[in-house]
Amino acid sequence: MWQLNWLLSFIPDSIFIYITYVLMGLGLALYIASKLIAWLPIISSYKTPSEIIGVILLVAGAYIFGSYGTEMAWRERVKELEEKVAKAEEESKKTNSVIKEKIVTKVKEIMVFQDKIKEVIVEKEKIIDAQCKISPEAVAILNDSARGAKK
Amino acid sequence: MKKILTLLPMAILLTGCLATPVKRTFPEVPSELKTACPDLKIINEGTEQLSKVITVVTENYTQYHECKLKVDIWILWYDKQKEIFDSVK
Repeated sequence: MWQLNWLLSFIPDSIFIYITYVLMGLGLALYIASKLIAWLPIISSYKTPSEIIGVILLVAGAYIFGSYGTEMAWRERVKELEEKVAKAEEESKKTNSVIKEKIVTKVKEIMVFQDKIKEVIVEKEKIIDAQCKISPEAVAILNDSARGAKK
Repeated sequence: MKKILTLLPMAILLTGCLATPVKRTFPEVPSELKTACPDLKIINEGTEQLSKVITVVTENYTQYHECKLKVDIWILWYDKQKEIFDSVK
């Protein structure tokens, strides 16, 4: 049955109600015609098929007519949701660009600060190295610590 | 035949349980956040000067600050995007 509703969703809002009128009118006309052609022997063999098709069309038309209000309410809801989703996606993109800008700025700040520290190290290299000699054990400990548990 | 006659109205009634066909896409993450944190730098073996050791340690500290920033931004990104996602109801 969802296939029927899915197909109905393709019908434009403006002609939806007219289609239900046409279906019900056609069904009613066929049903009445099926009763009348019983009197005409040449086409009386079409009585049962036209009666069945007439009833099917009438029921289908009535069903769609009944679901018209619900269908329109859902379409309105879908439209409203689509607008909200589009707005949210736009907002999400804006947030992303703000975040991207923030990363770039902050990383730049970090790098600038690192460069300053490196400059100070170079500047004070002689003072730093004057009284201290690092033992290979200290280097090994620091490297082990840097490598962590995944050595 | 009786079963069909019972199931048919049920099937018609169940058509009211359709979900709204509104497609939502998962927000894209900035490419800067998708890069993994590199390994910490290692001091060259045989290094005896403290200045060289300090340089490597400083670079590693910088690396930490950069990675911390990324984690903080990831949290911020998630909170903001969740807020936007939840606003659509």
